[in-house]
Amino acid sequence: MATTPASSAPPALAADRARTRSPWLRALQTFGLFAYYLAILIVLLWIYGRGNAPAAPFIYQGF
Amino acid sequence: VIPYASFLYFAVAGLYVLLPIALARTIRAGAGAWWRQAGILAATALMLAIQYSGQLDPNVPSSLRQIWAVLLYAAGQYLVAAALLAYRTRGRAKWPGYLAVALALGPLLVAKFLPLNAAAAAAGPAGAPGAAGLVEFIGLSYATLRAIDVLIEIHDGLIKTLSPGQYFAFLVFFPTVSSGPIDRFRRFAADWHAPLSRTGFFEDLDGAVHRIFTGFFYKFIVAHLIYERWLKHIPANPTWGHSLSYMYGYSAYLFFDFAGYSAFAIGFSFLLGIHTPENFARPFLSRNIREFWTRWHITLSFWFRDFVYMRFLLFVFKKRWFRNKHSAAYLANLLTFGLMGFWHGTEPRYLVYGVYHAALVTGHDLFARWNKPHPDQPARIWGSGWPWQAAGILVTLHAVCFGFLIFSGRRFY
Repeated sequence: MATTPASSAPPALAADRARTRSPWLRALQTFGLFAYYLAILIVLLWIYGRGNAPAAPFIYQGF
Repeated sequence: VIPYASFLYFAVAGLYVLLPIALARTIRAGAGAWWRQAGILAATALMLAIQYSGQLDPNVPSSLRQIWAVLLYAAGQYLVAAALLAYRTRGRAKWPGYLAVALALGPLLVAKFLPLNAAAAAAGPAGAPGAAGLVEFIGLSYATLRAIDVLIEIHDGLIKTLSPGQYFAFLVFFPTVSSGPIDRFRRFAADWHAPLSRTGFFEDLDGAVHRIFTGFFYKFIVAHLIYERWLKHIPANPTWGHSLSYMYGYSAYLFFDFAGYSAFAIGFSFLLGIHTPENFARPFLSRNIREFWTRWHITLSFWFRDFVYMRFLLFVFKKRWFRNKHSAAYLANLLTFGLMGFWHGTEPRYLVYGVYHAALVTGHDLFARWNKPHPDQPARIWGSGWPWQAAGILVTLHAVCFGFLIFSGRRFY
């Protein structure tokens, strides 16, 4: 007869654990992305907010 | 207005095109595909009018505006494609297909070779879109490849119907019209006909926002800083040190410039419900030159692989021109990369760049065949462990960076 290893959680419990862990990971990922986008906006403001010249033309638009 | 080159462009596109389309996709979730089609056509017409509102060429005594050149070009290419499609429903001869491809190539060849255009291009700022000639508009090179894609697939019997609206949207789709990525008609058609859904919209929005921010990071921050803080300060006199510095700087600049552009183009496409394919996949981590060409300017290299390399090999095998399949493949490399280099422009440096890459790919194939391990014998020199892979990345990086130095046109000797 097949036995369940002592260390493995019952399927329902494992699913519950995945559900509880997943929102935190998702929140962390969302926070990371938000920080990434915010950092980009801040650097854009820092570079171009002082009236700096716009970026050079795209190289591949010349072909 | 040069696409993606100023904050004004993003403000106009965002306010007048992307925001209304996003709202419509939210409100009309579950509507038929024609909503998307109408939205794409309206957005493309409006943005083309904005992007191509300038005169064709200030050096040419003509008041013709670029927008009319774009519309005339699209109408002409549609007539050629529709005529070929009508012929293919009853005729089997191959010459109409060849003639149609020649007609599709015509405007590009005129733009590249007409002396008037060469003079105008020389008068304009190097590499800037303002150097367009009498028939050339920004993105003609890319539109030509899309037009040929349609013609070859009609010729092969893979495209059975061609509506003017869908063809126009594909040929001059505004997010990708100026520099690609070079989409394929049948892939574009799948998105064009797909029904709208709210889930699909939010997935597209997620992908679009991420790509647009990445585009800003690449082009407006990293490429800008490389250009302003590095490339501009390298003296023009070609010493080895300056050339080496320029080689690394230009390679990084080219990547962040073009990958940034591609991220914008793909992000805008996603908002319109079109999943334009990626153009880059960490190219500087390629372990060999063959792998590099599956990671750098992917849509261009795959286009040439499918429509030049494979077609040429099929043709020569059918005609039995070569006994050795490897010789045929090496000639196909030369033809493919030579044409790919030439596609960038008629300046000798582009041809040299193409031939250089043909030599690299051929050299890599010869070496890989010689080095190949056999069941009873390990690889002769180059192993497969991580140190060999790291060495492969380093060698490939330097080989492609030297190629970009050729591509840049800067004198290095």
